[in-house]
Amino acid sequence: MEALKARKFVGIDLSEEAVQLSIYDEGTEQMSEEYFPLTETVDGDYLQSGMDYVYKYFEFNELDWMDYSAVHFSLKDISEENRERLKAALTSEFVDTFGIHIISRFRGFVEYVFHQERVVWDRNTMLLEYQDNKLRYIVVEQIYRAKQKAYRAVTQEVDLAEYGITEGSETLDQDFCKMIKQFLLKNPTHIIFLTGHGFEGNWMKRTLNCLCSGRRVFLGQNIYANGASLLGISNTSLIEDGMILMQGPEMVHHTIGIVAAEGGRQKYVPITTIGKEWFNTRGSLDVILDKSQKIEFFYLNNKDNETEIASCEISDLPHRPPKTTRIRVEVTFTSCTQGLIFLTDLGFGSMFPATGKVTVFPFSLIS
Amino acid sequence: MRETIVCIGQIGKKPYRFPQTEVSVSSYEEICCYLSQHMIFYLYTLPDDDILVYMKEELGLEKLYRQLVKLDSPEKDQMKYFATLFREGNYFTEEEIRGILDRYRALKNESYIKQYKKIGDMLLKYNKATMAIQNYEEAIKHLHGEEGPEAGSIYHNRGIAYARLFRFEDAKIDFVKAYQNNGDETSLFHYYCLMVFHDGDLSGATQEVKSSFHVSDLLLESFEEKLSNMMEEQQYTDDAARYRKIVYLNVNDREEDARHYFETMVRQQQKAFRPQLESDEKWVVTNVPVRYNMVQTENTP
Repeated sequence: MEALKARKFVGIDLSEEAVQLSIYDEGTEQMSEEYFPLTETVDGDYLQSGMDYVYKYFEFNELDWMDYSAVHFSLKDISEENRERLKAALTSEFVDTFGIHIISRFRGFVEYVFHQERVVWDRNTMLLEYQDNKLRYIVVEQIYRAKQKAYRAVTQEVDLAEYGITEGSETLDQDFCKMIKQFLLKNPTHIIFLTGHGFEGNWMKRTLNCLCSGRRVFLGQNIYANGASLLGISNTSLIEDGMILMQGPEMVHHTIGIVAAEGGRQKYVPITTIGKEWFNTRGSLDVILDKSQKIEFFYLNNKDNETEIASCEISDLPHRPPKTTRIRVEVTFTSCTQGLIFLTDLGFGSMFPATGKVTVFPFSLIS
Repeated sequence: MRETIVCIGQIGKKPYRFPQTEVSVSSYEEICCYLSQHMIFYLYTLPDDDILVYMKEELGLEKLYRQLVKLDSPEKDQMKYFATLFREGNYFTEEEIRGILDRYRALKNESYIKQYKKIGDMLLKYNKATMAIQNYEEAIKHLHGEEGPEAGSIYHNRGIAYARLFRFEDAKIDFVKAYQNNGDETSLFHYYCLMVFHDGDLSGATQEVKSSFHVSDLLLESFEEKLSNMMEEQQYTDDAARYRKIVYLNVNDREEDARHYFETMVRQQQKAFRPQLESDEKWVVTNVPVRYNMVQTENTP
């Protein structure tokens, strides 16, 4: 009998400064990290140059892509243009094998946190990224401390010049320490991850004392790639303890669903989930129409806990008795608040053949 | 009021075909819908094991498979099997499930005569004339010579099944028996039609019906009118149009085309006719009620 092979997942973070490459081995539960600073790029295309580094690394170390189960990318800039450029930088063989899975750095960190032991995410956890005299932070916090817990991840950027902090100055440690003290008073946290070139250079003394006071602090440069590689194991939009509301760039915080009877009770059945970027958010559900040719969609805003209802009438279907029309509902987003719902008539076996007719229902989320 | 039902499982890549009716299904909901409307086939037996394997392998309903396998033995209560199946998904409400099971119970409590007739009627609906006849014959055996409207309706339906198999003489006999039992003019009209179409003698048929059954002139007039309407309707069918085309091709010296067209038409009709001849011995045997089998055994010397 063939031995069960442990899966390995690759995470690649691409930015103008460097390439982060992380490989997670499910068998040994070990993460291997590589970091390549991008000193020069081909025609200014850092994505292509970054991927060249990765391809070369695999070639040099005689690694076979076929040994890996999934590859996820995290990008600093997740604009559509950049995503298309990354697509162009990948070989067709690579795309055929792994597809293209791109996430934001924000999500990379959140995925990293929720793939750690409970102690890491069950209390407030923060990532501080110090780069180009800007402090970007991501906080993962528990928002309901009731039976049904929920977690919220938020991100913000602080221009340190406003606090009189200048990167490389002699008073950097002192100024930074002062600012961070106030900052941590407003944002109490138990675990801090530090990343970014700003923290390099051995200048932190008082700052480190301040950060480490009653907290656990980790410094590393591969945090986003680590998160991307761990995504191969599973997506953490929902955990046993409750939902994770990710309020980051391009993240969707609405679920699109319907209300249907399940086990004799009316129940909200989500078709899409939160916790993904809009371009990664899609869902599908098959439903049977009962007495009418109408489907009511419920747009649930998980951030503000508000619901909108929209009704979609499917016209021009052949006359059929109740409960003999199966409709495939497919939801895709075109932005954080807009998208399309496709409703395809699948008929009902040979009893009522499918017409294949597709009704397109656009949606726009107000709240 | 719920308007939509969330489906469970996936759509099978290949369909499952029910042997009795050749109806194809590809999802859990279609299986539920079909079975709820065809419970008459499962009074003394459960659906084939193949359907359980199909649910597991094609529809991904492993849990349901495991539950139903436990209930899939003759000594288990069949009601439990169907209740488990219907309650797994959301296709039926609890009220609807209770209704289906009540009707199933009522069917089980009906006389063998009615059960066989209903099976025959269902098979006839799916163009399975041979199998329908087998069930009507079983129903007639259980009549033990008893006469009346129930016998009449069985003979009438068997007459239709015979006619579909072009066994017109047998059909005529059954329509006459049906009329004698239930006095229903419809049976007599079918007899009249067969005489006209098969023997090709309208006045002979009218005379025969009038003298043998002593029917009124008014009724005969109504038969003639109905027949004429039917013949007119026939002119607008696809078959009539095909026939006209063959005649047209022959008249215009395109005999080769006409022959080719005729052969295609015959092949199509043969294909459509084939299910009428099919007979699933295994299925008929397994549907024979247990008590009936015992009686047969006792009578065997």
